[in-house]
Amino acid sequence: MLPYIDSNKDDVQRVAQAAEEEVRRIETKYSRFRPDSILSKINSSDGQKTTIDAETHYLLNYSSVAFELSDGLFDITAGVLSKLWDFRNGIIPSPETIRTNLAYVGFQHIRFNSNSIILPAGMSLDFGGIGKEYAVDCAAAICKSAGITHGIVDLGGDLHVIGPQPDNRAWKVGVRNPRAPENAIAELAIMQGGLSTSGDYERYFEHSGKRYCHLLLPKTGMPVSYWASVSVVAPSCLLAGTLSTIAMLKQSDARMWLDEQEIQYLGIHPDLTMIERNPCG
Amino acid sequence: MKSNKKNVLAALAAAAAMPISTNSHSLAAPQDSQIGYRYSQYQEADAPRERTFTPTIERYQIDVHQLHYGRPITGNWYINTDLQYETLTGASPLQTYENTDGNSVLLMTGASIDEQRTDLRVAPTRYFSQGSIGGSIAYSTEDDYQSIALGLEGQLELADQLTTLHGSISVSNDTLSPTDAYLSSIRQDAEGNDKRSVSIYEGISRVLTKTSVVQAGIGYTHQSGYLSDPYKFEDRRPGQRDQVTLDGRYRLYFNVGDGAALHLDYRYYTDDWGIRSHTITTRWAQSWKANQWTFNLIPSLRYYRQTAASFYRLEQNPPDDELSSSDARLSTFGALTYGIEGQVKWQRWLVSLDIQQYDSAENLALIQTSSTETPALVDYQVVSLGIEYRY
Repeated sequence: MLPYIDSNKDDVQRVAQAAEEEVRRIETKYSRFRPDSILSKINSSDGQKTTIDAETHYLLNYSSVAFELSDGLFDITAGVLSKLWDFRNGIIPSPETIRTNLAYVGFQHIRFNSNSIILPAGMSLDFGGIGKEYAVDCAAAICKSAGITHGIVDLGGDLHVIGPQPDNRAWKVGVRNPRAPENAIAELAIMQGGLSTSGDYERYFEHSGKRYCHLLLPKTGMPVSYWASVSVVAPSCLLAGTLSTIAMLKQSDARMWLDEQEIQYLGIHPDLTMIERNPCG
Repeated sequence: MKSNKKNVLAALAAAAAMPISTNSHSLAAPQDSQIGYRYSQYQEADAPRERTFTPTIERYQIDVHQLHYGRPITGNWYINTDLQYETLTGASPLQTYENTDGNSVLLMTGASIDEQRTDLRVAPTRYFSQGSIGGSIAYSTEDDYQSIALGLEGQLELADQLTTLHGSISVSNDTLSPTDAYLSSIRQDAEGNDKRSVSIYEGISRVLTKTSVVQAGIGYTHQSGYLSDPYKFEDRRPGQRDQVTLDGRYRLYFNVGDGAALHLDYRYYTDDWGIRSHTITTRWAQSWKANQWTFNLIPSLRYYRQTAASFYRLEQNPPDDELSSSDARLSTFGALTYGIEGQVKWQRWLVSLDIQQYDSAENLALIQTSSTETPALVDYQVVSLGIEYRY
């Protein structure tokens, strides 16, 4: 967090603390790894109705719109497929295993309304593609409502730029080199908005010269490979994250699709050649 | 299903649009703790000597000390506590009556009283994403009076996020124990009597434009029990009182200085004792900022007029089986209050000074004035100094 305000440092500390608590709240609520999270409760409901609150309904509704608009590529029920891939030991699952589990993938099978959800038994939700991005936006909202006008909320690469630098120049944000993630390979100039990067270097293994990453196509259960990473700048981090994930999953169709959205993006191929687009110039 | 590609970002953005506010349940309760102290001095002007029966003309002076403490409590609760201590000295009207020459004579109490009063109020509030619910309990005690009051209030913000509904209900019970009961049988009779009150209020406020807000409300109060003033002569009031108020408020914001607002308030009051009143208040709140300092200056003007209660009478000895009261607060009169408040804010501190002058007179009622003199109508001045710290 890089807050920059011409006001009391203690005020800034308090806002930063409130923002941090908000991130923790969201993380606790939607963590797949905590048995007491609402997500775990839904995932262990075994086909029974689970009560949800307005915030969860909002995220489910958003996921449903993203599912439709991406023609089924963005699917928060595809988490079951990730479990089949052993990234630590580099083991590729068998086609039979994948085929069996594909039966449990498909957002179209879920029924939900503003206060409840029915998740068919065997299916499981994963907010991994939206939780962190949503938390970034919420933390940024806290900062904005406290009067902060310049600064960035950064959760490990998913950012929300609240406003430019105090002298009104854009922030220069580094984009990781997908083949050397501790280094930046490019810089994006951002005045305000969300930035999110989807890449094949977060969880992967290589086998016979081929890279298998954690971004799986919901229809086949197999990883994508066309892009090494796609970074998108959008009005919110949530939107940026969804667009960058869909772009990765669209593979060769991504470029035309991203151009049509008229947003700033940077796509990096596995050979590190880059496609950059900035509609604002 | 192939979607219209051009609309993808717009559609996603629309789905992403709403909710940063639905999760504002975690932000709705104020997060600051506050502690404040205020000292106020209320000084009534002397009674007109040419109308008083005895040389006692000095009226009330009241010194008030107020302590306020508010803090958030885990989850979405906030609690406000207020402690008030005041001392009252001076004399007050016993009776006003019209003598054979048609002039009003004002009888003041002889000795100056010396009273203390302590009030304590605790009010917790629970905040939700769409509003809040709060309760309050207040206890007040002085030599001759004890009062306990309970209240419940709520606010609900409607889905359009422009309209808020307010509602409240409160009950109170006061027990009288007049001092110096040996002075009159009236005081003795009043001993142990109580006064009960139930009030409800409903209001609605709406954001009209980016720079204006309007609020309207209606209230009803029912009082029962001993409603007369045991310290006054010939003061026999009904055992019940039904009161209705209608109020409206308008706020208009201007980009003058570092922010300014015009306030216009109107209140209509009527009860079954025959009293009807109108109050119009106008204020200009002006703000200036420099570095970490904020200065606010708020001049205000208020006009009030009321018509008399049906049993208001100035006979020296009205029949004992009839209602009567010569209390000036039940007469026909008008009043003008004018004053100014100044506030200085710096970091977490706020200091404010407020000076108000109140003048009341029979002819200030402007229309339908009464021809009788009301020498007990009082003018007063209030000076108030407060300091507050937020953390």
